[in-house]
Amino acid sequence: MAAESTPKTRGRLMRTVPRLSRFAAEYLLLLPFGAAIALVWANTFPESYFRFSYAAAFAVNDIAMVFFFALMTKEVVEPTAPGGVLHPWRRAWLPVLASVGVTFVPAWLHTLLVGPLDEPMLAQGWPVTFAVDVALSYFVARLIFGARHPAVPFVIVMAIASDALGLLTLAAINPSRPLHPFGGIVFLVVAMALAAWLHRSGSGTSGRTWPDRARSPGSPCTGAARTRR
Amino acid sequence: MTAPRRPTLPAVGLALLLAVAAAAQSLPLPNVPGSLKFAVIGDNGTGDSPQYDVGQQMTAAHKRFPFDLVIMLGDNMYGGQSPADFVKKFEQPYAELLTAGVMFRASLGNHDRPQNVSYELFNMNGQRYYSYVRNNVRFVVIDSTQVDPAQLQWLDTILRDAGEDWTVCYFHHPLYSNAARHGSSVNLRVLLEPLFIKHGVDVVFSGHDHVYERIKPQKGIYYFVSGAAGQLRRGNTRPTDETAAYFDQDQTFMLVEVAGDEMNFAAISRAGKAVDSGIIRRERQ
Repeated sequence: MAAESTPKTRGRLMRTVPRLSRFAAEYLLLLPFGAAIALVWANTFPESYFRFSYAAAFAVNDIAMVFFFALMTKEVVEPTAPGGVLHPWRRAWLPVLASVGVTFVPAWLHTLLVGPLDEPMLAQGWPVTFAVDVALSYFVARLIFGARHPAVPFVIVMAIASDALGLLTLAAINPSRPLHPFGGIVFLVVAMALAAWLHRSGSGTSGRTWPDRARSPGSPCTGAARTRR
Repeated sequence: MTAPRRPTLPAVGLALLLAVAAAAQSLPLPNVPGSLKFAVIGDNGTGDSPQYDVGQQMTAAHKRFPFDLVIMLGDNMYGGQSPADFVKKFEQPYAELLTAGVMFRASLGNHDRPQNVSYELFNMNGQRYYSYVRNNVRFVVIDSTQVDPAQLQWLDTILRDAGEDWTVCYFHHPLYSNAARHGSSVNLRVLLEPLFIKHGVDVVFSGHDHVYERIKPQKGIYYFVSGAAGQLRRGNTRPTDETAAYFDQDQTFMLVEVAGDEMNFAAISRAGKAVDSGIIRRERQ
C-alpha cells in the first residue's frame, strides 16, 4: 500500500506545486507573504532579522532590484510603445506630472508635521517622502484594477517618476556616500543606446518591438513576463 | 564664669537629624584627588521644574564631588529651540556649573535639531559624532539617530586607534533597555555591538527611555540607560534577566569617577538620594 501511495502523492505534488506557483505568480502573492513574514520576524526575533536584512541589503537593493526594475521597465515600455495606453509621449507625461504632486505634497506635509510632533531630527528626511514603493503600488493597482487595466502602467510610471525625483534630490542634498556621476552617465548612455538598437532592430525587420523580443525564450525578462500570464 | 551648657534634647535631636541628612546626601564615590570625575544626564532639556531640581542637585553634588565634565546623552532640548529656549532649558538650570567652568559635551537625540551641533556650550564643534580624551579615558560620542556607513567607518577607526585604558561610548538610543516605551534599539545593536566587542569598549551610556537602568554586562560591556534628567516615565521599566538595577520613580542623573582600573558610579535622584551605585573593574589586557 505504502509503495502505491508514494507515486500517487508524488504525482499530486507534481501537479499541485506548479499550480500553486502559477497562482502565487499571477496574484504576486510573494509580496504580501514576504511582508507578513518580515513583520512577524522583526517583532519576534529582531536581532536575527536585522542581521539578515543588513547582510542581504546589497543582494536585495543592488542586485535583485535590477531584475525588479527590468520587470517594471517592461510594464512601462509596453504601454508607451505604439498602440499602448500611454502612447504617445503626451499621454506618458501625465503620470510623470502627477508624480510632482505625489512627491511634493507629502514632503510639504512632512515638514509641516515634524514641528508639532517635536521630531526636528526628522525634518532633514523630507526627501524620503518622495519614495513610493513601486512593488506595493504594482501589487495594489493590479489587485484593484486587474492586470491588464491601463491604470496599472499609469501608477507604475507615476511611482517610478516619484522615486527618480527622490533619488535625484537625495543625491543632490544628502548623499550617503561619494557620488560617481561619470560612471552613472556612462551606464545611462550605454543603456539608452542598447534600448535604441533594440527598438530599431525590432521595428525594422520582423515588426516586433523590443519588448516582444525581451519576452522571447532565453531573455532575462522571460521569467518576469511569465508572471503576467 | 558660667559652666558650659549641656546640650538640650531638642539640640541633640537636631544634630542627629542633620547627621542623618548629611549621611543621606553623602555620595557613594571614593572622591579620590586626581581622578576623572564626570556627571551624566540624558533627556534633560524640558525647561520644567524637575530639570531645574536635578540641576540644583548636580550643583550640590559638584561642591562635594568636583566633576569638571558633564556628558549629555541626547534630547538636550525639547520643543522650541530658539536662543531663548537654550537659556531656559540649558543655561539657567546648569548656570552655577557653567560658571564654575564645568564643560558639557553633548550627543544628539531625536528631539534635538541637527543645527545644535554648533551651539558653543554643547562643545560638539559642529560634529554629529566626535571623540575626545580625558585622563585615561577615551570618550566616543555617536549620533545614533543617523548611523550611516561613513560614521561606522569612523567609529571603527577611532575605536581601533584608542590607546587609553578606558573606552566609554555614549549616544542617545540604548542598545539594551527594558523600558516599556522604547526598549532596546536592536537595529542599532546589530551595527554597533560588533565594533564595541571587537575594539574592547568598556562602558556605554544612553538615554531615550526616561528611566534609569543598569544592564548586566553584555558580552563584557557595561550598559547604562540614564534618560531621566528632565523627563520621567514613572513605572515604565519592565525588569528582565538583563536588568542589574533600575529606578523609575523620580528624575535621576549619574556621577562617575574613574581612577586607574576602577570606575565608580552612582545614580542620584532628584531628591539627592543615591538610588544605585557600584564599581566596574577593568580587566587589564
